Amino acid sequence: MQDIEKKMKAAAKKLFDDGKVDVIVGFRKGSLHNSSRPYFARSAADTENLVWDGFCTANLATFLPKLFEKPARPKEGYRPPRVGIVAKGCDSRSVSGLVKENQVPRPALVVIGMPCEGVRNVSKKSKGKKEEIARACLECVSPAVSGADISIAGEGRKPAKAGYARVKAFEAKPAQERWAIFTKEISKCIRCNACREACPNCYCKVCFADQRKPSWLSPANALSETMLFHLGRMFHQAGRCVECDACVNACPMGIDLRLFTQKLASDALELFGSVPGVTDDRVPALNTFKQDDSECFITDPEEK
Amino acid sequence: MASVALDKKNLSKLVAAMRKQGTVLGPVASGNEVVLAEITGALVPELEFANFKLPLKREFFPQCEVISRYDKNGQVEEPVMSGPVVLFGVRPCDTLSLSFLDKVFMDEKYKDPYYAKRRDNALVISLACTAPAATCFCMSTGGGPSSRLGTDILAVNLAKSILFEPVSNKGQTFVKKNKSLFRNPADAELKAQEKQEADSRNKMATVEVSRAPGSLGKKNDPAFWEGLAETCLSCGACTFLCPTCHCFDLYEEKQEAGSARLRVHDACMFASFVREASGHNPRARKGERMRQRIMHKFSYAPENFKTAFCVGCGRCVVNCPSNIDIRETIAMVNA
Amino acid sequence: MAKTTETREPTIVAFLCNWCSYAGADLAGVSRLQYPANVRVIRVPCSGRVDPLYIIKALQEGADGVLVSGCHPGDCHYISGNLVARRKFAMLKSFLEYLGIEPERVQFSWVSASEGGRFAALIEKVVNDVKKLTTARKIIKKEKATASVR
Repeated sequence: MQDIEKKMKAAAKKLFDDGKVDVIVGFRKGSLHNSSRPYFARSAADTENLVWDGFCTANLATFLPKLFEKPARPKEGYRPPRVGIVAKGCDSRSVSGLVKENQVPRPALVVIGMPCEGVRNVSKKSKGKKEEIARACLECVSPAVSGADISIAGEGRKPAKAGYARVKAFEAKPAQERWAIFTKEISKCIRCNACREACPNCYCKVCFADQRKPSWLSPANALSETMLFHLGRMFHQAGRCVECDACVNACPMGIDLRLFTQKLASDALELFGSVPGVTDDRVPALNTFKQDDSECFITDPEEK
Repeated sequence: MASVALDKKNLSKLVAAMRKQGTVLGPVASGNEVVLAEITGALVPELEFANFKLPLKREFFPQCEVISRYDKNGQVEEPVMSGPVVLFGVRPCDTLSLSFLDKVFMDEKYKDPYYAKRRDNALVISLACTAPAATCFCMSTGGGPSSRLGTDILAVNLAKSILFEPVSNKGQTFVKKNKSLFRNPADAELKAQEKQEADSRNKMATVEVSRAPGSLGKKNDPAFWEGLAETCLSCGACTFLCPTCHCFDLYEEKQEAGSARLRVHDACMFASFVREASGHNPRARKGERMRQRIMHKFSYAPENFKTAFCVGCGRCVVNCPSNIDIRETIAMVNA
Repeated sequence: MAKTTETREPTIVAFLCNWCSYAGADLAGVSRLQYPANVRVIRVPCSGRVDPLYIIKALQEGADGVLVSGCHPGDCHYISGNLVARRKFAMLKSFLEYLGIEPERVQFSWVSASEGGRFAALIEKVVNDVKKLTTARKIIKKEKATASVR
């Protein structure tokens, strides 16, 4: 791991020395025991602080839309910043999605692809142990970084088989039980919005939850409002979610959002053959169609 | 006031006595965690745990409070939905936050009826800390593992007994009313309490909170704040989990017949916190919002309330998704 | 022990696309075809306009069921609005059912402007399906927002 870290830091430093980037988004040592945290290196000297270890859990792609946001009145000769990103497999899947959705200009981004062995479980779920490899990594079907500009050599995880076993197990439960589990998990929510802010796909300037006149919902954590928030937010990931678990890790209450987001990922694969960031889709799955898309869910009143 | 002792085998009797006073909320095991929940039936409160994930402020300043309702007949003030409650096993950092929030919600001129009624209805029995976490620094914020501020009774968990030290008149009344349950503490027990307090205090790291107000007066460089907030997600987790953060929003919600005015928790870290009706946002940049948070807690609060608004509980440190550490922030501010 | 019959009339909110389904509903009316009065129609330009939030919000505000109906694939006035919607609705229906919301509550269909009879039959079917469910509407906004303590 330390060898990989050295190579990454050297590559990062070289990017600054060659004048190829304005900022590199990576990780540095955290302030808590066994932790690393997001870091913006803005000079060759800063790259000394970069680390690479099993606690580099955050999805760094979440910082990209803001970094590339055009100012309201761009000055003469404005060009987007050149940004480097120390990317795991999940980060690169998110990057691919953001490029498709025109949030990140690919030519202005330098992807440093890391050989990811999986990161530790940092979610606040009551049953999680920090020493274990995170569930998202155990189930990751594409740990390798696709489309890296610089590939750091090393042994990464082998891809897991896509199975969505947990989704299938949940589906087998009776409807009342599923609703009870959903209610129980969502009841923990304090409406802090950490899940939304940690998600790279949530880059709307004004989130539907914050819209007023008219509003979809209030900021109160009444169960009905909270359910609407999560249903809306998660469904906005349909066909886009890369199952990175950034939302799960950010949630201070340890809500098992993965149990629900994985259903969306599973459906995207089953219904449309799409794995966001992996399958070579030009646009997200819900922005397009095929003539023979499934109609089995359509109600036909004249069907005997 | 003089302490009394309860033999642990009588704890359930004490819970029964508390129930006569009101709903009993205390430490209850739930999964791998301990949460503040109602102690029902034969449940006995947990005594070995660190702290609750959620801050105590939520019992007095809930996330959602109905202030008033409107229908075609006009506006009706909503009665405060609060009954007598006994909060047992809360930590001194959380009760310290109550002593701060009391200054905000109940000062000489104005009394928030919602907070005040709940405060009135509650008997707070705090539990001294024996194992501060690595992220705790209550001693730097005017508190301590056995701080008596904000509580009615301080309980101390010893090997075979629990000492109860009344702090307020309300606490003294409760102890007197139930004196048959208690006995005088033995000298050894009082010594054990002292040792426990000293040990806990020695375990805790220091953060130079008291220097912050002075240092902040000179910290005007926007680049400092932008750099600090670079990796902030503006999520609001720190604010919602902080025992002293108290900003709120008023929201008019349409109901089936008329509307209701709700008071809901808000966070200055949210991008839209001070967005104006015109669309202009005076704190559009993350650095500006971070500066406001730190200034409010460590400069404006000392000015207005004679204390920084931080109790050193470490919740913001543990839960920030980007691991922005307020202890480091204060060190950088003071540097 | 489970309630199987609604004791009050259910309300169905129907999002009908202007060019096909709404016209089909009009035709049903003009042809004096009888269908249950439980439906509340909201006209949209195209079924592709229907945001999943409309459907979830309708359920939250008290609808017992939600129906979205558009042009048959290939007939969309805007060429492909219903085709993109088809994917969206497939995923939404699957997601809501996964969470435990009865699949009968949220239904999607295609009704053309000339299918007045089909429209009437559709409403009949949806209302009957919803009537067979228990009265507990899953995402229901409480009439009064109670002061939640935690």
